[in-house]
Amino acid sequence: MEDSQTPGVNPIPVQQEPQTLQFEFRGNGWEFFKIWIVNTVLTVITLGIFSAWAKVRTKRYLYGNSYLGGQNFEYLADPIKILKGRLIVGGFFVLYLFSGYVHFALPIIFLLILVGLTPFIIVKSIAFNLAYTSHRNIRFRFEKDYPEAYKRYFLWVFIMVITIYIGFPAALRRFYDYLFNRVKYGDTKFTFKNTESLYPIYIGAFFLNIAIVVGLGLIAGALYFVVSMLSATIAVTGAAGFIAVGYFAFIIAAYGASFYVYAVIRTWTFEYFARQLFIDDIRLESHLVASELGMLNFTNFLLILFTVGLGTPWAIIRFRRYTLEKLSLVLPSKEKLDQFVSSQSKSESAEGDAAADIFDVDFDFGF
Amino acid sequence: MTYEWKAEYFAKGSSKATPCTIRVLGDQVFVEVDGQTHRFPLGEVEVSDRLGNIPRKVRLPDDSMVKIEDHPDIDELFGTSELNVFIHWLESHRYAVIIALASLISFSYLFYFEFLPCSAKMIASVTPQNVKEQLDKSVINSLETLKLIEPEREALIERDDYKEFIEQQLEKYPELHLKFEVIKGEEIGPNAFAIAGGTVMVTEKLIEKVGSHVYVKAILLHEIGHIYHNHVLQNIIQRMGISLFLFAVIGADDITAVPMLVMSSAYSRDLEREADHFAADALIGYDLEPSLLAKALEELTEDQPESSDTEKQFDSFTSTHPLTEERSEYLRNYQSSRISKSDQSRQDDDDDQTLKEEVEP
Repeated sequence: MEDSQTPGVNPIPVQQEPQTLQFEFRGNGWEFFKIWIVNTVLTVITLGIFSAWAKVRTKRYLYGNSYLGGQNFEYLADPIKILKGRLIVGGFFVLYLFSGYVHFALPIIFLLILVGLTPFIIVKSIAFNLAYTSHRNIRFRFEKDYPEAYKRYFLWVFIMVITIYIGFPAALRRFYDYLFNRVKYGDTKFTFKNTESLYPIYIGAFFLNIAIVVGLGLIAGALYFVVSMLSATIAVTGAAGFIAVGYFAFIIAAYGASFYVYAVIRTWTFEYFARQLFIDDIRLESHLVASELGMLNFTNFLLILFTVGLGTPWAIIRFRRYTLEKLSLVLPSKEKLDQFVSSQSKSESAEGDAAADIFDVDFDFGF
Repeated sequence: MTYEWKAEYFAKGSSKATPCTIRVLGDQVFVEVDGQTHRFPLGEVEVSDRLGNIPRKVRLPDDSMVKIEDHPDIDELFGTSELNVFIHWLESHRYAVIIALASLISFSYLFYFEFLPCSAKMIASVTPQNVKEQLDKSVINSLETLKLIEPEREALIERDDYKEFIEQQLEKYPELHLKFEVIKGEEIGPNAFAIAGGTVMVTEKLIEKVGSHVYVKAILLHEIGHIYHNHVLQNIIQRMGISLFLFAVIGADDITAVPMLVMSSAYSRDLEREADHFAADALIGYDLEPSLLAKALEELTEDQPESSDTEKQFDSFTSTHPLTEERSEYLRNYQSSRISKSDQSRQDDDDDQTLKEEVEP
């Protein structure tokens, strides 16, 4: 850009090639397993007290190994604050459980309080998680707007209920609009264009689901027919075994299909974000492949099931690596990442929001 | 010892990474960036805790930050918290991890098979009757709301076939506050169940289906067993224990639902077995064979379609009741192992002839 500043010369903007920058995950299954198992044992022997530290260590490890342009993300929350929040939520739950013995109406009152607080809790916890997420010494932020949150939440929950959830994609779109148009990275606002409906995604997934179940049913029925025809001539015991195997194969296939449908929704949603979500002039690119993601989730499920939970850390690492490395940012120039600023001091952005710490509810969007 | 690193510097509020050198000398930290040297007192500098191999972040008092690739000497130079150094030591040593794994497995085993059932039993046994009755009220209420049972129910004691039997039970177990009710509705099919405070409900359909009153009484004895051993409450407490445990171990994940189902169904089967043993003892007391209960169960499941072998194996993993065949077998074994005992108990139970007469039609 130096030539353009030379006096007397017409400033010709240097057209730089847009740069594609892929997210990178450097976590390692065995390393994470060691952290996970120590976290778990310490949580158990401290009767749950350590769980707040365990949560922070887990998130720090996952964020700390997520890289963009050679710099990692950071999770900066203080475990003590999370512990306080958990104790308050736990106390509320115990009160709710036993208040019924005092007066039958008390649990209902507690539930109503909880319902009334829901939008507040959601907003607070989004703000909490973003305020403690940092990249390149710049923190994320969330511009809270409670009246709008209450309006949208109760209006759209009501619409969903009266439309037996047909309103869900419309409600979700309102939520994305509310969320992403209030996120800031330092002083830079995110932009969610909100020009596209989410209905194609959910209607598509719905019909896909029906097609898969009907298809599997037809295959299973045909196989059953063939085998029962054969079993008239071949030894019956063999046929029974075959039917049993087929029965299990059908169950597993149907289960696997549900993983596939979930993966399709996620893949399409990220492609949707790629078209709708911008940070200044930076855009997102998603390379998720539904069949790969579905298979990954399915094998992760089997991994956790057959290791009675001990495979969980590997499952988490595999999921993180795949979903992160299939995402990239398209930047107008390489220097773009160096140009973000934050005029807010560290203490303002995080500590100023102490009340938020109570509501440590996770909203994981998989970024 | 290393006291100087090539690192990256981020000025306050800027995302630009600039190469720098960071040096620790005595109680001062020096950061050299773009030919300028910044100096900070060590005590005001914060370093992120060591975790895996993630880069360390040195936060300087002016809100700028230095990123250093992880190095073992950092903790010693900057003096980070001892607790964290210890946790990192645990996390990075193979033997510490193996010990942690072994302790987690043995802890889980003991918790699941010993601690939880035992403490649940103890808590259930000291729970006052009025709490149990309160619990019953809410259970009955929700069953009525769901229209599974009707609000007006006939007391089984009104029926001549059961009057004497029930009176005997009330006399024998006054502390259980037993109550027997008949459900006429067809919603829940042939079924019998007990709730915490002492109420046993049996459906008209079950009475019709098993045919003989003796069979019904064998099933009722099984249900009394549940009440005698406080099973409803024990079950609730155990389930709460498992879900809390899974939450602590795996965290707030959706995947906990599957192990939860498998783990708590094994408990339910233990409870069913205990109630079966109670009924078996009572039947022996009446001078009857414990396998009568098994026969009653067979009557109950008679019309159900035959299932394949694999299905049965699958069932035995997930079902909340032991398989009927399995139950018949252990009830028969139970009988042979208890024959000597039943000889003694027969002398106490001279008024227990009512059942006996009915068995031989």
